[in-house]
Amino acid sequence: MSHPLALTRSDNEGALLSVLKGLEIQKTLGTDPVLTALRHFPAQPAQVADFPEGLHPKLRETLLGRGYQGLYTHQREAYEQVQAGKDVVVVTPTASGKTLCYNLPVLDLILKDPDARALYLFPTKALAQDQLAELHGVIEAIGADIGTFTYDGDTPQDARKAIRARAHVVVTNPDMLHKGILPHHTKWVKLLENLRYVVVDELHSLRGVYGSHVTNIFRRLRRLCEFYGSRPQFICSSATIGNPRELAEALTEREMTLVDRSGAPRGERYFAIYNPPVVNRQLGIRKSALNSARDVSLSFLSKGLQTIVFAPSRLATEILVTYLKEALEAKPGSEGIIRGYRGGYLPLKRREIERGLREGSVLGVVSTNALELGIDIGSLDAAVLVGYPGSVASAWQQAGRAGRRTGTSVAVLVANSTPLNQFIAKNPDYFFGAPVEQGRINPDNLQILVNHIKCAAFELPFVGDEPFGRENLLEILKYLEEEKLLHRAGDRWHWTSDSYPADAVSLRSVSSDNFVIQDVTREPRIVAEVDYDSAPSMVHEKAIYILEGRTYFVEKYDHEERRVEIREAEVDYYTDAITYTKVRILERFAEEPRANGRRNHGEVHVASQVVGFKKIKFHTNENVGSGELVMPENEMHTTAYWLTVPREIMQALPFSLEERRDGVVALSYTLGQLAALFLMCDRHDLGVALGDNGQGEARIERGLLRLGAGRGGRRGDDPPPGDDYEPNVFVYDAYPGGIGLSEPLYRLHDRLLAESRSLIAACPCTDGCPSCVGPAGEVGSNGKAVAMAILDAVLHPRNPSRADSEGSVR
Amino acid sequence: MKAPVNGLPQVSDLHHRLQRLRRPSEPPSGPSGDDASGALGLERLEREMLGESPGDGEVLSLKARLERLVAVAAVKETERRGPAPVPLEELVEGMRVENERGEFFLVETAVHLEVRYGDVPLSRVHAIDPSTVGILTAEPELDGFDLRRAVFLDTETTGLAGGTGTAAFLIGVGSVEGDRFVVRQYFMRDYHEEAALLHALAEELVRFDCLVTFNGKMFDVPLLHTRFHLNRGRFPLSGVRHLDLLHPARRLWKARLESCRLQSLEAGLMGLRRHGDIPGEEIPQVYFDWVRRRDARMLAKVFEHNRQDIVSLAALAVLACQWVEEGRAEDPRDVFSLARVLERARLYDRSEAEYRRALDLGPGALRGPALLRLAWRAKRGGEHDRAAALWAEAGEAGEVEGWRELAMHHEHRARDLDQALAAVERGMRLVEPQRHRDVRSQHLTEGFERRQQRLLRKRAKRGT
Repeated sequence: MSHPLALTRSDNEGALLSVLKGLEIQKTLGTDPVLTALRHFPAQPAQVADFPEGLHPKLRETLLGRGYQGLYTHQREAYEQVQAGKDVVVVTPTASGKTLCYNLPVLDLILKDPDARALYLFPTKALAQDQLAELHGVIEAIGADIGTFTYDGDTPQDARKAIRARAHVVVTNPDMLHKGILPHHTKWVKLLENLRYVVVDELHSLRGVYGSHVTNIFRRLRRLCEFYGSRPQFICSSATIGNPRELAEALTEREMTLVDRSGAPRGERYFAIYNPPVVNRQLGIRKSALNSARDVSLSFLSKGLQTIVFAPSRLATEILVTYLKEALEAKPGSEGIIRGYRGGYLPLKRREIERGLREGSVLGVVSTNALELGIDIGSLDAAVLVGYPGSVASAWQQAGRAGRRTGTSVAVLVANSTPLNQFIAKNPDYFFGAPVEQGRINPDNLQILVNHIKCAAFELPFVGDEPFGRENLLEILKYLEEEKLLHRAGDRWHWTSDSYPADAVSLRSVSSDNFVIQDVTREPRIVAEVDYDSAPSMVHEKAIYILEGRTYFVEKYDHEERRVEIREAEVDYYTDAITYTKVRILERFAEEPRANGRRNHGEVHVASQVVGFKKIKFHTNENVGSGELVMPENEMHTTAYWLTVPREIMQALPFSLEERRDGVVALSYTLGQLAALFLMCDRHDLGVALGDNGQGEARIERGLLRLGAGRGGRRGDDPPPGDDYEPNVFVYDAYPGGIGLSEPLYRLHDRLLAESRSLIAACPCTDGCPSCVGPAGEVGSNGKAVAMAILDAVLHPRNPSRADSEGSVR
Repeated sequence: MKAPVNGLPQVSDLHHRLQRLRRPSEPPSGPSGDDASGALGLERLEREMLGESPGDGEVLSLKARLERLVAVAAVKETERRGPAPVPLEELVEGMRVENERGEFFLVETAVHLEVRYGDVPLSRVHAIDPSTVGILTAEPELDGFDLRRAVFLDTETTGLAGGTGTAAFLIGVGSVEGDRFVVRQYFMRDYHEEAALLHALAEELVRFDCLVTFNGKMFDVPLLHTRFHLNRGRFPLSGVRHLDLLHPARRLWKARLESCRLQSLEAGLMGLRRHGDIPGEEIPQVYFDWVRRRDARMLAKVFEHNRQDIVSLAALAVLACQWVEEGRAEDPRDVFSLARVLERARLYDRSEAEYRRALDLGPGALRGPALLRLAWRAKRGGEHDRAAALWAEAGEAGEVEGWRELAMHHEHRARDLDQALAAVERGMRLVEPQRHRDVRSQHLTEGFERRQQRLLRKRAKRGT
């Protein structure tokens, strides 16, 4: 069932190409074309192999019956490796039949040995449901009695016992494994004694803090398997990242075999990079990426091409939905052809939208990266990315949502004004040739490790010299004994508390409480959710909340109750929160003078707080007001790298105190952008903040607009840095406990500063712009010059006159 | 500070980092922008000695701080010079038992069967009819359940969370032996004694073919399954007939007593009040303190608590059976409850007699429900006129269902449309005011309205 506006396959190619042509010939003031790159990726034919010899005849029959004439080469290879007893990680693009890579060996074994059991792990319930449905389909076709069930928080109590007894394949997620299965393992004896395969899907999503938790959950699982006498094989599947084998090995602590040559066919693809035209050369201002993306998307949508637009934030998503609905849903009967999508929507609504995409009744969807992961949404014609999503891996995944097996598709990356995006727009080879980011985890992060050791002790007392993790386990056990959580009897360490340790561990964030958003316009009803960490900035009092194109005013924010009340409101502006971040140094791991500055890294305490908001008019993006707020603080411990600019250097600069302060803000902006580039990590993995050695600690807002009149506005109780200002520019890991980004950054210090200086010097703007140090209005009229002067002074030995002359180069 | 290797601080820093886990909001350490770090460091040291968390916000004078330090030191001294821990054997009479899995501690006590709990001596157990437990529970598989051959079991655990981290450190089992009721308490003095304890317990339990507990189905039995599994054994009583007294107790006594916790039943039915008993929620901590300090003073109370629980369990089981056999109930709420229990067990004549007795005992909240049940029975038995009279009486007593059934009777059986309409009208009067407040009233009102329309149409057709 497809939408009346949607075209048939054969028309698609023509329509897509005509849009591209249109983009190609668009020009800007002057001579820069907007398309800075247009790459063509030819179609790839399928590479097929025969069914393996030893495959169970019923399985072969069923596959033939479903139209399979053989397997793709990578499916065959995965099967062979698993038969050989290897632990396997399969890396192939979306829609390459990766599910068969694990379903085949699992079903094959169960048919041959009905006692065998398997555990399937998906990161979200939606994915689990999707895959379960597919598995059921195959099993039904086989006609064998193989029980496959999901076991998660929604499974009704009376079903749980039956599932434990009867399921050959248990489909669950890491959270349920952690809280609901492992601590009750004596109820799962059948599964654990006979566990042959553990299937881990979307392995690439198990990175950062989440991946660090999951590694420990796997340690606990393997420990219990040993107790029950089993040793399951791991079969993992991952999207493209820079180090899939390394990540898989880090997660499972087993040697992994990589299967990564995809035999699946792929249609022809175009990838374009679009740089919005410059609209004010002197100020260096370009048309906003959001507005450009709107126009590009409309070109596709108005031709009936199914399009997905990826926006960088929930706010941007909602704004873009509003714009597109205005343009396309004016005609009666066209309601609902544009949808928004993000994590905070209720599950029922999300299922509806996914279905609409598959069936073609939804023409365009604007989404956060929530739709990046493998949920089946059918094959779309075009993907538009509003800004570089922070990692090459994400960019390819998002682009990959357009076009699956055959037919032409187009992806367009619309660059925004940040240095990172502009760098990519001007150096497309960098992007197309870039090694995809690495997945990083730190499972021995002490906070994470200790929590899981508690859980493991609850599950089974630790014995003697048993290994767990890479820290000194004995010392940790003794520490827990001092905390009165463990008791040593003989050579075993027993859990001695009446609490349930798994409850105290949240796998994804500091707190697992979601805020509930309640629409009180008529009968109160819950319309969405937002996670704890985002709530203060998204739904503070007086915020404008947008849901699927409708605007609401936040009337009440109740932090204790985790509840927010909103009311429908007709407004022409939206709001953007202002956050203050304060960093305190707890411990220095290393510090060293480098040229004239100092580099450091160590452990820090980061507290952030929403202190106010701006009101921004739709379409024109004018600042039409602001407000102050008092919101709860969010804190965490993590690791950080920081640059210290010595007091003498600051004082020797030929600029006023205020200009010097602005210069540091400008500098921090550039450093933050380039740090993500060089670390090849996701931009959101890092946070930037400033401190002042001259006062022990000082607060400063995160490089964005200030409140109140003029540029000097600060919070009343916070003295600005004085003449003894010795700035610390922090770049910290945005996760509690850190995930190992600070030390590499410490080592990259010299290059980071040198490249920052080159970038600022080469920027054609006069006073600073979003492409180098930040908009002039935010960093003062001399921000760019001062930032350069600081860098010069730090990098080159004592040359104040040189700094001065460089600062006046235009 | 040692330089990290591969981005991770060295092992010797582990202890330091673990300390920080404990106090996450410590003020900055190390040569950061701390002014006069000397003074700050001293203040921190003082706070650590006082056991205060930093950032308390209070600023004390030097004199006050010194005074505090002295006071704290004094308390610590007293703690150390406090009473010495009392060993278990001095407070609880029991013995060390050794077997091939190790050793544990066993306490054995007994009460004479003639001892009375409330009005009933335990010896009444001999006179219980074999069919009674089946009737009490309305579970046919418990027919023939003999309390004299049952084991009464109760556990004391390290928590209520369930899961594999909860241990049963004290398992009490009681049974009739000759003219006594013997209670054996199996206790692990430390965790490594669990294997031996379970081994001995299994040997003891195999001779029983029925089990009595209080909430054992949800708690004690699953827990014992888990403990046996973890010790590579099997719980010997899985598959054995199990009387969980919690449910029959609720059915018999909840209407009057409201709380059906074991101690509430003890007090309400047998007039027993415990003195100095230890509250259940404190028990896990008592055990944790015991394994660390080996002071048996609080632990002894746990033994007594457990022993009393088991004896009361047996006494209540006997009492419940006696109630069913002799119809001892006197309060109309108890009589009604008993009638329900008998009805569930399909003893219709007896149950009807009890319903009538409940009615005879006078007006009360349960009058209406009793009338309804009698009416249902009459209808089932085909005595429709009698049922109708009872429906009417139930309706008068405020039961909407009575009017509804009466209306149906008159419409379809007696074919008296006027009476039917009258019944409908009476029913509507009861629920109509409620219709917007709850779903049930709304449905009932709508039902009556439809019936009324239908009856009016029928009457019009007949021309009466």
